[in-house]
Amino acid sequence: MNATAQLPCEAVLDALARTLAPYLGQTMAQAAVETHRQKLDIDGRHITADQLEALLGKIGVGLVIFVGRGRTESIVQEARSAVDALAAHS
Amino acid sequence: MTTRSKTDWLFLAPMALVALFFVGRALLSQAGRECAISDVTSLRVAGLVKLVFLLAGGTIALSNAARLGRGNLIRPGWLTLGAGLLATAVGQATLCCYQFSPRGAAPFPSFADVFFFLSYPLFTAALVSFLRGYAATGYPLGTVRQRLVLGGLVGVVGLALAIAVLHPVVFKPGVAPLARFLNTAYPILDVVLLVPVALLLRATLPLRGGEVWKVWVALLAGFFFMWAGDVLFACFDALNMQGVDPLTHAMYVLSYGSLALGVVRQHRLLAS
Repeated sequence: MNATAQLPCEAVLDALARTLAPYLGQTMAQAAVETHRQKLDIDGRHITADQLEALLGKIGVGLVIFVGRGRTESIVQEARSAVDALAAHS
Repeated sequence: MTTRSKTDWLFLAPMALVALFFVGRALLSQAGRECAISDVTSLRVAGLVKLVFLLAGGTIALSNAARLGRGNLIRPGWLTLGAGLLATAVGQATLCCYQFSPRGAAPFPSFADVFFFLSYPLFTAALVSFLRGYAATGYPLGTVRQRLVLGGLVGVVGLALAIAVLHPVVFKPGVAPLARFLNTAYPILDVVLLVPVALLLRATLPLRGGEVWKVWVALLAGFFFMWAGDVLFACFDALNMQGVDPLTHAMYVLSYGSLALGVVRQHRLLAS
């Protein structure tokens, strides 16, 4: 996702939750994404690249505690790829 | 079968086999029948299985701490959990020395109890550290009020149960003071341990279905079985309830096996 691009917020949040679900479970994955979305005041119909990075940063801070730094980096990378795939299709 | 489930079965299969064997032994004893395998042999086998679980769990927990790296909030938790498991392993190794001697059984209390006793503050510190770390994730893991209510409830119910179970243990005449103290202290220390266990269970319940949850199911089950084993041991030793002795061994095998399984699952998460 490039710096000026915008994607549908709901689709991005869904993609992030789907990436996190194998590690955090469906319920916590959705709750974690939603909690951080609210904390970061991401409430529009679209999400910017900066907002996405901030969201991934917040999610990563929690993930490090559960799964360590190395695994967190690969999950965050996986999440970015999922969002990029979304951008390619939109 | 995936490599992941193969590793799980490496722990689950011996746990189930040994636990079922001791449950069968307890049933035979209830029916007034003798088991074909002697007490000494079964004690030795169970002792070695417990020791292997504890050594594996302890060393891998320390490796988990190392892999998490400095600055990770739950690193101290894995360090103290590893230290607690290794302290228990030293205690268990001491028991094994007695069990493999011509005498065939360990006395109670023994030198092993120094290490078993030492493991409780380490386990409690580990669980408190996990709780603090998880609270810092920023994920919705329950409010402070919910945690206080749940912790208080488990503490009060656990203490009431402990008093009910331990009442005859405390007041039975003719029991050596140190044995009486330890038979009372172990289940009470378990109740102290059960409070953070319940809080962690509440905190990690929303993680069900994920890999992280599998770590916690095993670890928390391990602490629950430890509590059950300590209560049964107090009844066996202080009240001379011979029939529950095999169940005590079953509980400890399940406890140490579950703890080791949880530690290995976390290791897998960190390693892959």
